[in-house]
Amino acid sequence: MAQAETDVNLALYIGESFVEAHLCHNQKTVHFNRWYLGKEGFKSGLQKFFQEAGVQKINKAIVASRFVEKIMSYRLGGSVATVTTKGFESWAGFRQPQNQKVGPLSSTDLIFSVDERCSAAGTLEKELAENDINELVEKLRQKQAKRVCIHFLNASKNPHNQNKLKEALTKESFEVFIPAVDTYNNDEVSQWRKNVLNASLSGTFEEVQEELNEGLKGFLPEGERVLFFGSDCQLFDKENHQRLGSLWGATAAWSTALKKRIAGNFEVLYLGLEQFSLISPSKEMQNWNSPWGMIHAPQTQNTLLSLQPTTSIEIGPWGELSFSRTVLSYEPGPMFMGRGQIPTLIDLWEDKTATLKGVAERRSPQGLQKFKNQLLALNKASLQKADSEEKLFSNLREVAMHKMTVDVALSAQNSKIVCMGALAPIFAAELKKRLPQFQFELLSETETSLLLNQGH
Amino acid sequence: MLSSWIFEFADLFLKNEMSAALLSSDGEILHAKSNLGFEVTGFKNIADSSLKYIALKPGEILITNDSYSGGSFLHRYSFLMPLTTAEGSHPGVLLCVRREFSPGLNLSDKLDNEGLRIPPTPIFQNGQLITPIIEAMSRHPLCPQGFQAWLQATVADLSEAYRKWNQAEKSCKLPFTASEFKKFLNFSKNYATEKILEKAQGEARSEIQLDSGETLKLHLEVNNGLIKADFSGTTAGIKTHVPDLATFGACYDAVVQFYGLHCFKNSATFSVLQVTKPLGCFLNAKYPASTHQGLQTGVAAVRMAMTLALRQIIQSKEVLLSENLAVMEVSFADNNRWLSAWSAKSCCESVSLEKLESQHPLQFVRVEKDPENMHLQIEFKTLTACQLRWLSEFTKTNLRAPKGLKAPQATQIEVLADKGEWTCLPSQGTTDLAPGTSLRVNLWGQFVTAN
Repeated sequence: MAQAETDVNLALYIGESFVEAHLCHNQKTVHFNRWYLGKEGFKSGLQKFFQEAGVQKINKAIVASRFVEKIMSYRLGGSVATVTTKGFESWAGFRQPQNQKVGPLSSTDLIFSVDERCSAAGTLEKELAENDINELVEKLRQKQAKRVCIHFLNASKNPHNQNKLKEALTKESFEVFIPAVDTYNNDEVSQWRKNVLNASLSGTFEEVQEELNEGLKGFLPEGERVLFFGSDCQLFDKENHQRLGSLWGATAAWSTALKKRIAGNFEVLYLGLEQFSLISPSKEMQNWNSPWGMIHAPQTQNTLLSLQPTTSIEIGPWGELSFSRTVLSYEPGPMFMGRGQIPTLIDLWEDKTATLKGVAERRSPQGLQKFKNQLLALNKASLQKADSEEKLFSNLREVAMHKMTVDVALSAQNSKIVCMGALAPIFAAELKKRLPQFQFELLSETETSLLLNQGH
Repeated sequence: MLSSWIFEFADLFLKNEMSAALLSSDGEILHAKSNLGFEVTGFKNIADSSLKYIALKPGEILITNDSYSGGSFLHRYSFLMPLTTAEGSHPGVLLCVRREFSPGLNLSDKLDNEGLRIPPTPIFQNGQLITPIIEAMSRHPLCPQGFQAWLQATVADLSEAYRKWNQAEKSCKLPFTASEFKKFLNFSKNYATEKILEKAQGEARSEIQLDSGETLKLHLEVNNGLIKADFSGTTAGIKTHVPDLATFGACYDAVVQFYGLHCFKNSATFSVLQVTKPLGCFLNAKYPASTHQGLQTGVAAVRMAMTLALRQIIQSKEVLLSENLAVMEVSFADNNRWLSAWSAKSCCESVSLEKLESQHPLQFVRVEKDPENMHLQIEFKTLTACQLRWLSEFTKTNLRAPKGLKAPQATQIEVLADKGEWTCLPSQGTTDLAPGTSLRVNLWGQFVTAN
């Protein structure tokens, strides 16, 4: 290549099922690609990507990853144990919203307690006894726990007992997680949830890290590792308390980069393959409304739209075909990609995905036919039947567009809207037509990852 | 246009509110929601009774918290704002939002002693806050501290909602025409009727003896898709007084839960329910009777009576949850007050023990939960002298449970006596506590299979 290869940077945007990779030199695109993780892993995907680009060396690699979100719908915990103050073993579970269909964050047989107590004023009322520590170590070993979260009441006021236990457990080779001191939030359960999530996600996160580093061996300078965006837009590598924050790294990086580029207030309508949302770069949200309850996690404001690319289509209570509240994942994915069994919003726009990298090669004529058949069968069962396939499709597309239009009109605070993401070219023109009072600016699909290079 | 569009739009528009409704300007509820289910039917009366005497232009706001005008607890304030006026085929749309401020356990013999009662009063007109009225409210001896600032912030939120409405109206074809309303409401009514017809029809009775002395008698008849709740035989109020609209709301809430009508909380589905109450009974309370206790325990009793009767008719095998709830207010020196509500049915998502311990002189000893029986136990110790007020259960007598089930134990608030024994407090009361007193709350949430 003509440019000094060592000045080439790699930016990766990793969603739950897709990776977008971008190589740039002096903030200009050298190569871009997107691949589906169900088909191609991180390591082999990266190697292919570099081969296509003809690049042998890069200066650095930065990653914004929402990948860990994928495992949140499964039972978390694994080998993560929790140790609480005696009497408060069930307190965190007690506060979990009951309307959420997720299991508890900590599995009950891995919750232990010790006799210790610190008052709200920081007075140590009950010192943790050596004997209790030894008994606990024994129990943790029996349960084959590897990671241990320490959740003592008022430990932020006086961490004596917490530190004592941490030291003892670390000596016994457990990986110990303690809640980060958060001066803006003294809700212990919020801090504990964050801590358990950081611990629970650790295994998967480290696997991703290692696979990426493995894939970049020989490309990155000796001793360099991939760095991840945290929710504060800062890059991190091994800091285990930052892992949860990686979920919001992309929005932070995009916002930082776009604020450098665009004057005044604006919003970002992100229409990616896996998520539709409205990002307000100049606004910060303090909390994450997680499936396990509120977690204090300052992040750029990102409001999910009521329709998502993989929202399922079904006959609703009104007896007509519409969009449900269920959002499916890309495992098995939309029907047109061959493996899905339930019609989704993006199936309706299958014809527009022919040139979409990472998706085009996954299109399946059989899957598409199955989707059409299923939709026609649902149409027959609905109270408001469309009289042709064409009408059925156009009705549903209209419903989706109308709902998205209303959603944007009700949520947007600014008249300037930057539209980006892999599916933005499909929807932006129509939204622009329907919302004439807004000024839309459409970014190309490569910008999702390019902006990461500009965002730190 | 989808039949569900009005619901879809309302659901999006109201997504950030806990308790709110969109109504047509003639007072028909198009969609309502509330974290206190019995409140949803009251929105209609707020609109009807307010707009009869007060003319509001779009964007202008009035406030009320009168329990007898479709309101709820006095600490839950309703704000009514027209979004559009009726014009041609457009009947006009109203927004009613209900928000909570400075809640307390306000038990008294008269409504006016329980807190500041605000009849429908305009507070924002011609783009201006009506400051003299707001200041007059703030000077009332029972007006909570910080009310004025909270009111101003709420008006700002509603003005923002008005801006968003206009933004959406400008660009989206909003389905708010008279014919769409009619179609939507007709569909909703037919849907609710069908849902009722899908399950068994028949009649059943339930009776609940309240600890406050009243007897609730219900004869429920489900026939031809219509539910008739007849409370004949229910006695007069002694301490528990439930306003007429709240009684209807509690019955309606039970029906919604039972038949899964969550997306159809609108005026049309109210009509599948007929509620008859004898004049003078505690479910037909009249001003100036106090309402706080009625809205907590009375409403819970009505809901439980309805659920038990519906289960008898349907012979439902679904899990049955109790309405058990314990509300406690602990008052320390210097106006330091801790109000808490505990229920086995719902969790206390925002309660932080560390925060409570740092704000009030108290210390928690343990919190235990047995998910199988939905049993909760919370034990804490007061560190200084204080006064405890509480209101727990509508009855400590075990309810007559449906066949094959055993009612859960009643909620117990207990005090650790000198001898080291736990003593149960009655279902309601006030007592002074010495420093170091240990208290325990026990709640059971689920009816279990009888042996």
